Amino acid sequence: MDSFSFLILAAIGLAIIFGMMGVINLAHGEFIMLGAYITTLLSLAGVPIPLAIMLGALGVGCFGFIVDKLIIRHLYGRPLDSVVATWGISLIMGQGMLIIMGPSLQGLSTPLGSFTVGDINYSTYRLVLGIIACLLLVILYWVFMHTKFGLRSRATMQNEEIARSLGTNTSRMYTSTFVIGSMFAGLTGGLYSFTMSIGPTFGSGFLMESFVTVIVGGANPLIGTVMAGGTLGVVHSGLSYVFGTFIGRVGLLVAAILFIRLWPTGFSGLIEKKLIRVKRYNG
Amino acid sequence: MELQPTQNKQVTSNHEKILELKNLTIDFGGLRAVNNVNLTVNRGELRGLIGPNGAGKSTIFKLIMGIHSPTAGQVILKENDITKTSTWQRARLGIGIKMQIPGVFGELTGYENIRIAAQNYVVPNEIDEEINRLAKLVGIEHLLEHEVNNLSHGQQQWLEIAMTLSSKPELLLLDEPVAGMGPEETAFTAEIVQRLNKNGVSIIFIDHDMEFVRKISERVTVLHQGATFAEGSIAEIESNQEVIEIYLGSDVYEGA
Amino acid sequence: MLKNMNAEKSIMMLLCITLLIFPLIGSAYDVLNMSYFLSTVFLSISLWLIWGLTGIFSFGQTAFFGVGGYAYAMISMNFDNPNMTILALILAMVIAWGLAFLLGYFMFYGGVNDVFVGLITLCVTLVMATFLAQSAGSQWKIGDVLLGGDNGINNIPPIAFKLGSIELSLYGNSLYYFIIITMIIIYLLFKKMQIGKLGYSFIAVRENRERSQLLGYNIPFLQTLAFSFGGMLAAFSGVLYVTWGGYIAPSAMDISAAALPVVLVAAAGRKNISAVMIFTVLYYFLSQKLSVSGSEYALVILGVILILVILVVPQGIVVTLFNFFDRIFFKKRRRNVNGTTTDSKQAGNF
Repeated sequence: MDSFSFLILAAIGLAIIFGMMGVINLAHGEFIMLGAYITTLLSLAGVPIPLAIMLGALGVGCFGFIVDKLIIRHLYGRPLDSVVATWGISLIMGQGMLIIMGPSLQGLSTPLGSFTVGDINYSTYRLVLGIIACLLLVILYWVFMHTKFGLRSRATMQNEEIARSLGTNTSRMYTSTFVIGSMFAGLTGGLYSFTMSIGPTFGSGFLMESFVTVIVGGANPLIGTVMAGGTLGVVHSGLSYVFGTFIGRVGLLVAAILFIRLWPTGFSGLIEKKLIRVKRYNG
Repeated sequence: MELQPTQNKQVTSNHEKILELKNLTIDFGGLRAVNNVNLTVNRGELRGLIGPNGAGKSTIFKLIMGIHSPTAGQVILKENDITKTSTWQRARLGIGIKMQIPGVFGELTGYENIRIAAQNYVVPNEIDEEINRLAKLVGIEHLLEHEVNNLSHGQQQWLEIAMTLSSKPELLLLDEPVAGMGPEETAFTAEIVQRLNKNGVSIIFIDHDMEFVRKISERVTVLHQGATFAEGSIAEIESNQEVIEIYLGSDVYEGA
Repeated sequence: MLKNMNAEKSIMMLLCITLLIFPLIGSAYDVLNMSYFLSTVFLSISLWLIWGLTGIFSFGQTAFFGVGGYAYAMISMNFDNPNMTILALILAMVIAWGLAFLLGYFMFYGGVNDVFVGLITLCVTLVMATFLAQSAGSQWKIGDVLLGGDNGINNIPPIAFKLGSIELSLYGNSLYYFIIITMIIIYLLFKKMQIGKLGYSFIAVRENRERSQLLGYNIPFLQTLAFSFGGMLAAFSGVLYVTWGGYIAPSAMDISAAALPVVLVAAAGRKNISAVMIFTVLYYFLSQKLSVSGSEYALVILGVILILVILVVPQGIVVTLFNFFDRIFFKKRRRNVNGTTTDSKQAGNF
């Protein structure tokens, strides 16, 4: 459960941006870090926790808006170029934060205490995280499937040209996607800022897991992330429990490698094949 | 079964089959795109493959080249079953193909394009000569040093034909070779195609430009909804009432 | 050779001469630093071969770098005889070639391409780094040599040769010249390969896989071939690194280390081997200058440069400079497949 929520929350921002725009955001970890910093600073200033987290998410969303307007909008659909550019962004953000705020920030304690089931102690907060992760997925599903915005974004994902000719403002769509993806990253950072120590490298603990989840999940942010989060979560928890966290991580990576090899389009691709669709063919 | 690389065989008999499709079928998801097609092309033929949009023509080409694997049926080249052979090996066995989407390397020069196409089939010290020969064949020998993206659409098509010919294929598949061409370019392309056929290359082509089809093909196969609908000379086909009817359902029948 | 002069060739010749006489004009400290910079160039060349020439986007070169370093350490340190270091060098490269071949086979014959290769190779690199980082215990060893966990392996002997009374150990000037000579040989070899059949086969894979397949190219085979030799070259870089510094640790394979070669090659102009080499040396040189002078802004500057390159000169900085100088000094206009200009029909005529 723990792993599941971690993977989902870590990956969702990345998945949305990659699935919709074909942009790989290597600065995803730094976006998460930014969210953590904003939340922590606000919290230390006395802002109540839920509000601090939401403002953290919003703050990173705004930052994402600026980044999109300046840089990302030139890179739509160019995954390899976006890798280099976002790597540059991550360097600037990481080093910048180090310069501005120093190597570490006073952390916060995990709120809400703990509860016991049988003779095992669980952190209440982590349970809350799990609930939030599930809630997010539900909201995402609802937005995707039942709102006009969701419909337009699905159309753009399927076929940008047709969506555009039908009146969707695709560049506005892409910008909002990037902003939403950034907000999710900020949210994750804010949520987890209470469980880890804060520093400029805060995001690196998420980067690998988020990438792996997106890889295994495939292009569809909803189906892919859920299924990948679930599967990988099980692999990771299981292996960590038996062999320790390092082997857990290694196992995660190996599972991802095998997965890509067997199903290069990820879970999303698998599911799409199962649903009966007419594939485009010539003639 | 030995698979030999391309050899320049003489046209010995008119009844030697160069390509045979037996009960060829392919399904995509729930849709049967090609339905039990039986098609035979003899050596030295110039065969047109026509039919309304969505009839499965390009899919058949892809099946012949091995880009798709059939759900059922066989592809037989020169009496050898190549249904399970990989695409690149089929190319080396003597099938050249020019597809609908442009298949030139845009950022390279014409010279480099033909070089890449030809170097698997020509020894290094003859390659420059061969490149010039092929370029002359299609009339672009003065354009070899230009970046291909800067060539006109027609010139790119001819370059691609030159590339396709560099393996000295015995069977040439052309998917819409005159798409997007004006009347002069179309005429020139027709001339190239006919010249090739006279030199012994068996050709199957797909096109919607009926004037072009009428001009060069000897025999025509009509495809409809994935299956062979009719076959005969162009005159026979054009007077076939049922063929006319299937075309009335689509608006691609040009040059009536 | 002088017939088709252009900016790239003149700059490379100039650099070659300068580097050959460098130990005569620089201090021992300078030579030491330059040896380090040059050893990293092989890593960039390996990525040029795989990505720039063949179009395979790989984050895995640092993994093979690590394989080279660790394998060399394992083999050379299990024996007392200094001649074993030569065997260690050869074996390390062969092992890396083999592993790269296996990974390549796994990926390319499975139809994995483009971005997904990058993702798999990134995962492989991270697996290696993670696995080695937790290898701290005394049970983690090969022969007598401990893997050492996060601390890695120290006191790795340099490549050496001992025959009777002649003893030569690659250190200082001898190491420097070893690196320079091998670099020149590899450079010339690759330049020749590039305009031959194999080079053009790789280019075909890069430009359009589907179309090349229809022209008779065995795409997965060519990809695996490029990838395996790329891995071997990266391992060579790793061996040079441990010969130079005597040390290797898992941090050489973390996510920043994995991304760096990609970023350098992309920023330089990935299709051109000379550009890639020049930019790599420049980057390490500048990094060192900046860190020595205590500047924390080094990484920020690098980040800004990268963004500007992608947005303004996606062909790459050095390649754009080559073209620029060509237009001014050599009056050439056409950009060929290397990203440099010549007036010949062929790419990179040497």
